[in-house]
Amino acid sequence: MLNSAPRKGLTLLEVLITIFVMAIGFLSVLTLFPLAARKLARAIDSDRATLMAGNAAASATILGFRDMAQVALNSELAPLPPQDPRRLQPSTVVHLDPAGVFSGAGTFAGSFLLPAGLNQLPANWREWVVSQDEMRFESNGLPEAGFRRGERYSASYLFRRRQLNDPDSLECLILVFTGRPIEFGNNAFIPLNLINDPTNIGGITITEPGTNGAPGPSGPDRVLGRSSWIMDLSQDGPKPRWKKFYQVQSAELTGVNQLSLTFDRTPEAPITNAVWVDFLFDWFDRGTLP
Amino acid sequence: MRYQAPFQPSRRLGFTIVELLVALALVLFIMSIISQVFVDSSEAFRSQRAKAELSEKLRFLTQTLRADLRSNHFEAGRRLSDSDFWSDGPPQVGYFRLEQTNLPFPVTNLSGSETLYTFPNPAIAQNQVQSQLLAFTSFLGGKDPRGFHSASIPSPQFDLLKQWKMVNLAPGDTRYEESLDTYQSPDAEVAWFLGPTSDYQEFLLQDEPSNLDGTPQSVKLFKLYRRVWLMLPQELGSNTSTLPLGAASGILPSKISMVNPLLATLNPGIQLNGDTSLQDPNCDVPMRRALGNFHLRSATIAQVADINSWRQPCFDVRNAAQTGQDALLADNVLSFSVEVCPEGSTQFMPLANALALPPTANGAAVFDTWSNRGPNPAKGITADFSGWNIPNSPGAIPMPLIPGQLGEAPRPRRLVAIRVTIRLFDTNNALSPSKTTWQATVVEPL
Repeated sequence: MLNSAPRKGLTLLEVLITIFVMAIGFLSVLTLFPLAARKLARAIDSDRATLMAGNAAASATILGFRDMAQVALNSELAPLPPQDPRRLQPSTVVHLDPAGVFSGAGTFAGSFLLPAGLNQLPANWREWVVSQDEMRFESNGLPEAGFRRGERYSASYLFRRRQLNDPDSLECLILVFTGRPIEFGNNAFIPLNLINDPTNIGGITITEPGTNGAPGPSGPDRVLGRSSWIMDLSQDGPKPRWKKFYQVQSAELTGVNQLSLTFDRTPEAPITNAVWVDFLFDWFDRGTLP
Repeated sequence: MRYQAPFQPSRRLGFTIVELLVALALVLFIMSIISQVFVDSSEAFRSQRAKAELSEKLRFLTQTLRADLRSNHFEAGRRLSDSDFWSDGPPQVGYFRLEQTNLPFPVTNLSGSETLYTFPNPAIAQNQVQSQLLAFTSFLGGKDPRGFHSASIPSPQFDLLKQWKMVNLAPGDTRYEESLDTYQSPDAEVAWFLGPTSDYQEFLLQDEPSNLDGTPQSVKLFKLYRRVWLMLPQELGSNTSTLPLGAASGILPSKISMVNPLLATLNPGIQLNGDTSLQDPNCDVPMRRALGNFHLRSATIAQVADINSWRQPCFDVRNAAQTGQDALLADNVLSFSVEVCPEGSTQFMPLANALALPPTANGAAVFDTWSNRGPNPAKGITADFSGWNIPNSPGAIPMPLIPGQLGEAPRPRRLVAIRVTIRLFDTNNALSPSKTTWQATVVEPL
């Protein structure tokens, strides 16, 4: 005899809940794809930026950018008397930005010098400081017709002498920008209005750019936030610090127009002067190479 | 007696057909969304991965090439861009050679037939395929063998070399022996070139519309090689002319071929530049290339004759990449393009333009810091302009001179910088709508 127990099935509600949970699971897994793609894209970008930096270093040697910086620093050295202690101190930082200067931008109003002679660069200067590889290709491997070589990566240079009266101590940093409009120029360095905030030991607190008289962002769509680069220009003695870059990990509004920035690492010393280096992808230390 | 049914279903709690249909519709709806997201994500990831793979290959290529170009090519750190490079005559050690040729060579088409293929004119086809050869000596210096040049040399042959004192490696001296059958040296001849043509590949673009003549579209792909010929210490005073002929089987050190050409007919297994004395009296040029010739490959008497006549017309890519010294750096290469920047200019341009050579039919040109071997139309070289003109060279075409500064004698134009562009094609994803071509450019002072 068949005497089965009553079979309890699933209700529609249970089925829907199951589907919902499964969908959440699927979507969670799917989010890994774009995450991995972003990581890959970042790795590719790093490759391209490194290549750009290598070529920019070669261009500096070939075109004599270092000599231009030396001329500028000699002009700083010349008026100093022989016994002046400043001759033994680090020099002022020279920012050489051929792309920016030729777009009509002026010098950065901070602590930088602009070397003379930049206007003697040839008309094809951009080839030397702008990546020539960012192009689009047809399916057959040939460049797209009419497509101008891309300008995704560009480079500028920071020079200084460790000791003002020693030309051999000239150091070079190469800044590689990504997506920087060619007409942007030196305005990529945006001075920040720092607010004293003892609670923020992992970064700095600033007046939000563009408010309360603070310098505005470098463009209408530019936002100081995660991954932005901050360059520390605090004075160690008479001259700004050197090679002190921090990348913003988080930016949080902590008051009216008050932005608290946390860096990727704790600053080694209190920051009293800083700029936002917009469009900066990474910086490369080239040491004192000739 | 009351009938009792054997089976009396209780209240049914299963699905109705409506419930099933609703659930099915929901599942289908959600799965369609998820599948679309999956497809899009996969495509984006695949595209990024393809770019990453090409980028990784290009990183290796550019780093290797940059290191080669940065190394010293001449004695005492002398550089091509030195303002006094030509003032004291040619370099005493080393050479730098650049060829831009228009050399037709046989290729196998998609149909299997063989035809002659010619690279597009290098003088005008800046963004297209070019036949280029970069060859130079590379002196790395330093004492850390990890940064030395490295090449594979089979043990039996190398043992014979040592036995004949062609190579003199002191016992316990591990500077030159990297591992079994692999040796290293701070000094080497290095060549970069496309080839070989026997592996030439025409890649069919299956999903692209056909050409106007009905033939399918295709992409011509090549392989990029880097040749390294090590320079190893040689025992001074060794007399290779007394070597027994029979013992030479299996090796072909170029030095031997100079001394006794018959030895070279046996087997071209390895090629070494054994002499490092820099002032070998057997050489009519003060550099090591006289001892090892690029043209050397197969064991024919005719080519042995070529070996002893160092004035080769050009680097023959048809015979390249057949020896153990050639490392395949990348396949699926669309182009390997070289441009140079001459003194007084800030622009990169083809070699012929940089040297202000008279126009030629195909824009082919050769620059060499020493040799002047004359043109060879049979190999597509219509002008071989050396940096230093050797008197009485047959067919020599002197390099155009420019006035020297401050009353100096006229001299050849210097090359101050080089720009090399390598373009790769991703065949793994050629059927994808987002086919990937990627290129990288290296700029270096010379």
